[in-house]
Amino acid sequence: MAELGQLHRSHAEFEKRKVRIVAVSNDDLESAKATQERFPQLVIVSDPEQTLAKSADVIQKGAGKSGEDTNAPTTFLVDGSGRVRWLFRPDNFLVRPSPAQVLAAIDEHLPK
Amino acid sequence: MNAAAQISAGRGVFLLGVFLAIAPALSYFAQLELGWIFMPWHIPILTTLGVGLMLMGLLRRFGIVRALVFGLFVVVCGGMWFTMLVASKTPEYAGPAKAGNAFPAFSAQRADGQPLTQLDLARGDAHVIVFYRGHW
Repeated sequence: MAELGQLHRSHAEFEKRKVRIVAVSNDDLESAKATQERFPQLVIVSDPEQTLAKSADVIQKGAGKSGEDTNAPTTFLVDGSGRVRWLFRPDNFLVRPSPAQVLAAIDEHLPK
Repeated sequence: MNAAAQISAGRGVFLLGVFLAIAPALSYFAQLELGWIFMPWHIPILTTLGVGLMLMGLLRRFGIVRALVFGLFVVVCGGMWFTMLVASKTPEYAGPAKAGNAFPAFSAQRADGQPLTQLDLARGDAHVIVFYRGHW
């Protein structure tokens, strides 16, 4: 959640670059709605069946709070044609990319 | 050394150790509130220092309560190092959404009830897609 707060606070920088932030968790729709209210500038996605997470293959087995499978923190930069341009997977789930890192990746990997 | 001095021997250093072992919980909370999501190495390091000071206090004067508190924090400290070095590891990404590839096909639901598919990612605007571990 701290990660979403950071991105939300930096949303103006992302808007300037015409980049939208989509945040995906395995939360149910009600929890996702609460998150959406907290971070209105982000697009929050509810993925309780892990359909999207499985498509992108970001599930980490047994890593959830109660030993369930959950998303390994992973950030993708996708260009306007739907092609992945950069991804960040920390080697430890306590680490996330900072907004500055993501913005630098946008500036480096997306056409001006 | 009189009886009172014997009882209090090492108490200060022991309590300082307890404080150092507890303080990381507060500093980690502050770290998250500030949005600093880097490896919180200060947690096991400060706890280890705290356990070391508790050991010094215990050696100055052995007591059952001190020994129990020390034992408890040794276990906590071990758990912290295990979490940092082993349990919180994530595997290297080996999925299909590598740089240069099209983002895989999917169908999901936004919190506002609208559908979201890979086609929505290919309508001109770029996207940062963040997979996170949920509201907990």
